[in-house]
Amino acid sequence: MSLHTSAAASLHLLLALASIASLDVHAQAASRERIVGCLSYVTPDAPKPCLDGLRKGLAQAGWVEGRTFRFEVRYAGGKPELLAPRAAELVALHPDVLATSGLPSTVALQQATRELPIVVLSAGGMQTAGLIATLDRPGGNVTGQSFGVSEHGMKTFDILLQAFPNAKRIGVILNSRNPVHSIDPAGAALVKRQGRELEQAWIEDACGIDAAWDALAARGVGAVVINPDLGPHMPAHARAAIRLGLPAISHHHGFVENGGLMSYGLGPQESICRKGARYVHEVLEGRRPQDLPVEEMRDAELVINMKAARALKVNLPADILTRAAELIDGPAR
Amino acid sequence: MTTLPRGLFRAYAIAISAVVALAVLAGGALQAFLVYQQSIDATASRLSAEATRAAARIDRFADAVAGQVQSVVRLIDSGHATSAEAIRIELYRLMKLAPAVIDARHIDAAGREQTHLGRFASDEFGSGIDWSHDQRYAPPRPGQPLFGPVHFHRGSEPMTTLAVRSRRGDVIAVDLSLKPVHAAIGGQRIGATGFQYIVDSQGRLIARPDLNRVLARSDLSDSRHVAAAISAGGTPSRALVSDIDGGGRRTVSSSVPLSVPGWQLIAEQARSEALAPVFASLWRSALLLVACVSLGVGASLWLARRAVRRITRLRDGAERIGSGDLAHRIPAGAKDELGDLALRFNRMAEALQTSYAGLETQVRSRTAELAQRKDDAERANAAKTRFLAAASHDLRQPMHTIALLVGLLRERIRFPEVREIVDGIHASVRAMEKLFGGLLDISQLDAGTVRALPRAFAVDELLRLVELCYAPQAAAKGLRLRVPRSRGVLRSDPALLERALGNLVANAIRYTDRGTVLVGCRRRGAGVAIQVWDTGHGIAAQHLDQVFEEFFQLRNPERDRSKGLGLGLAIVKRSVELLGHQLQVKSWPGKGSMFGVVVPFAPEAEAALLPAAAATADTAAGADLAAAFVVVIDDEAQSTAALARLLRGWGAQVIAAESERSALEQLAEHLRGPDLIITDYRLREGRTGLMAIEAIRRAAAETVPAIVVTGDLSVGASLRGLPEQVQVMHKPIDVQRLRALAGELCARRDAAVAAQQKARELRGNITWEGDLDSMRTDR
Repeated sequence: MSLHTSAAASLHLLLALASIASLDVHAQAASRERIVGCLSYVTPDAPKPCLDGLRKGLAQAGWVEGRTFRFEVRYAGGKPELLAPRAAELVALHPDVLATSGLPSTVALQQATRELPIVVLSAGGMQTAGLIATLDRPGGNVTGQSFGVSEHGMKTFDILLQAFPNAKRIGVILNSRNPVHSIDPAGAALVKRQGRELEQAWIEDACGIDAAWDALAARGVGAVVINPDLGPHMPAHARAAIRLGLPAISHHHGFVENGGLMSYGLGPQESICRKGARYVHEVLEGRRPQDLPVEEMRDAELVINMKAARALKVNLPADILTRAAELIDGPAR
Repeated sequence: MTTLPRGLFRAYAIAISAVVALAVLAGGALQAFLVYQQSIDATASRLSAEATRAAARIDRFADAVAGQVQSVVRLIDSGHATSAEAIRIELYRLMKLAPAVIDARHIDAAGREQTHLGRFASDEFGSGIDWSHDQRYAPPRPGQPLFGPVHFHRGSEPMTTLAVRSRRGDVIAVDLSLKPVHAAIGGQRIGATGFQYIVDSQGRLIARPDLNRVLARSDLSDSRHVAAAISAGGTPSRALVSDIDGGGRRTVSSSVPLSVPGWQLIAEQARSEALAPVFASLWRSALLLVACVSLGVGASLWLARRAVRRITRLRDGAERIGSGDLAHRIPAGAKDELGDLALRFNRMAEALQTSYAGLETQVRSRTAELAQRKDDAERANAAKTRFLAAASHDLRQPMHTIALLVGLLRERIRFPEVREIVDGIHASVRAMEKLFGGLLDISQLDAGTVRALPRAFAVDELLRLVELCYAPQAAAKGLRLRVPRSRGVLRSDPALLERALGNLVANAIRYTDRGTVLVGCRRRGAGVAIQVWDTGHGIAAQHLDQVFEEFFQLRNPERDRSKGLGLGLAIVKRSVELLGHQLQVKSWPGKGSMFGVVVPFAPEAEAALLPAAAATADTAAGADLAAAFVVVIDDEAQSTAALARLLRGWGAQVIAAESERSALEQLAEHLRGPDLIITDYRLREGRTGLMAIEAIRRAAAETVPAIVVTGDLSVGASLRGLPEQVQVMHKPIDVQRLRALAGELCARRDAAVAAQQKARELRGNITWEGDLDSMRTDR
């Protein structure tokens, strides 16, 4: 009977529609191996906590490396001038998504492509650099996790000043290559309010770290604030600080890991990049970068390296110690 | 075969199908409705459950922070932390333990800030800022956490305040980042299109799902979902709220209140997705329904067919039995009411069969009986008729003799008184003759012993005879009898026809008092209607048929036998029927009547064979028998003598013989040949009058006209073709008629002889016979 046939057909149609409606986008997407292009600032043999974190994060999201996706990593080897060509190389591979951390790498990627999605796992000053329009609606092809430079900028001063009430001169290390680098006005105001002096020293990315530290030491600073800068620089900073016996504070966890005294800011890079992996996941799932709001990371924890404290023979006030969320002993490596 | 009524099956099928279909549909519809309700509830519950899960996490977070703040307050209350420094330590711990806390404040009982620890802001100690007017940092009751309004840091990150007052008045207040709330609801997706979000009591968005741009704006107070959630207040809404979102898609939602007063967690999902299982189950139900209905219909059709088939078999069987096949037996099928009905039908058929058989034998025996009786009756009737027919001649003979003698007597009597008596006898005898004659004629006609023998004849001859016979009667009554001349050769039996016509004319004369009786011929189709018109009394329309019945007479109630028996027309009718002619009758009461007989023309061939002598005959009435030489043969002496005397009285010369032989002997003694032979049909020694005529003609070597007198009506028929110039007269003879006929024949013969003479003269062939003829004609 035709009535039955048409009813059955309608049912089939409806069920088909329903199944399509509830079809897992993942299933659609998981039909070929995706390419995740990573631009790394460091050399291949350097520790890559971010890449590790990203890998872990993607694994958590259900991506199987080697089966459903693969990494394509290009290394700038610590040379900022190589960022652009490496970026171009990555873009030529037509990856599904580009991932990186740090503002310079991000800028290089964005200059290499305006179409391919770029996920920034951790960078500051993106809005100022013009990479995104607003945190809420980044626009363009860049999204990811950002940390508020201005916010993070001041507190390091505050804590350093509280920790070393007797340090008359406070040194600040700035990176001339960092487009957003400047002394945080609030921090400077705070220093001035307490009647202390501020000394600046400049580096040019990885170059001149020791020189800067030496300069500051020569000026007799009692404590140093490392302006928020690239994570790969931290080991050098830490070594210099230890060499010169200067207590210092950075926003980078890596500083304390590598022997620096204090850090106030985000947690370990690996956990940051692990959290940031969800952006890569979303992009691989098909979301557009302009639809993904940039998350501003507002973790702020005080981490103190007790071994460094002992080495520097500093007595940190009880308040500071109480405040510290994490006390580590010795460099992480 | 007429089509047997149908429709039981269809009626049953429709009825049962309708009932089944209705029942199934009703049940199905009800079930579908219930399923729909259930599914809606289930969807609401599902959404609710999702919301509840997220709500629990958020509540945990909020409760945790609140708890932490409260624990600081408890320390203050318990006296473990009384100084600002001590409290500060606690605040450090608080900030360590609660990463969501962005700022922590200790405000003393007077509302002045004692400590401000900032995660990003610089710490302030003993700033003394007056917060007493800020509602956010002024919880009314000690120990009860006060959540402040939600504001959005830098436009995107939701933050709120949480303040707890100690018993002694200090307030511990924190600025709380609600990012964990984000996290709680962000990763959660409900199906493919569902998400969760939190609104405050003003309908403003507190937390939205991460990475989802659906909720672009923060004021959702105009959303029905939000409105419903807010109106639900502190209880989770069980109902499913429907609304159209910013993208034009219809969504449904369920809400759960959070532990933070005024906050509602709303789980929203595209309606199509949320209700997909509902629709699927409805579709399933519908399909099942259709299947059940068709199954039910099919089953009912099958059942109806089964039931109706047996009934149809019964009906067909009954029909067969009814139309005559009593031997047919209906198969009973099952042992139920229908089977019992079939058995009863069969028993009925059996009973019918037996009674029919019985009836048949009865009918057969009765029929045989009746046939037997009929045979007997017919035989008796036939016997009677045969007797009458046979006796007809014997009965007529004495009548005939009496009539002749009386006629003779009448002629001889001179004395008036005796003449009167004789006249009386004559009249009675005539009446008797007629009556008897009528009866015998009728019986002969009835017996079927009369057979018509059609032959060609000239109609005018017939008419002349009739005229001759009845002219006297008409004259006696003062009527005019007109019989115009007619040409034409017809085919019929002239004897029978003459009898019938004679009766008709006699009737016409009898029933006409004055005027005319006309006997004429009219062409009518392939024949001639010989019609008798009269100006008599006429017959009323209702009697027109009756007049032809035996013994029926108009205007004879006293049954005056002098007016006849009433058989005349009956005889006419039978004669005409026998002849196969058509009888005409018309009548105008008071004016007259017409009786006619339609006689067909004779075919050309037959007509040509007739002698043309009749046309030239002189048919004047009042025949002259003077000097005619007549031979009379009759085996009855009385009759012969009487007839001879009659003829002599008319002037004829007569030889009376009792037999053929005698006649021949006597003739031999005479020189003269006879002019006319009158003989009885039945003669002695098995001879017939025709034989005698033939013999005499042979002897005379000429065709002598003859009259055969017979009592049998069947005479004409028994002879295959009367010889020419032979007329038949039936007993009892009418004397006048006899005279007329004899005269006619003689006159004709004279004319014929004259013609022959002339012819011979012309040829110059004078013979001895011619001499005789001339002698005769000279006279």
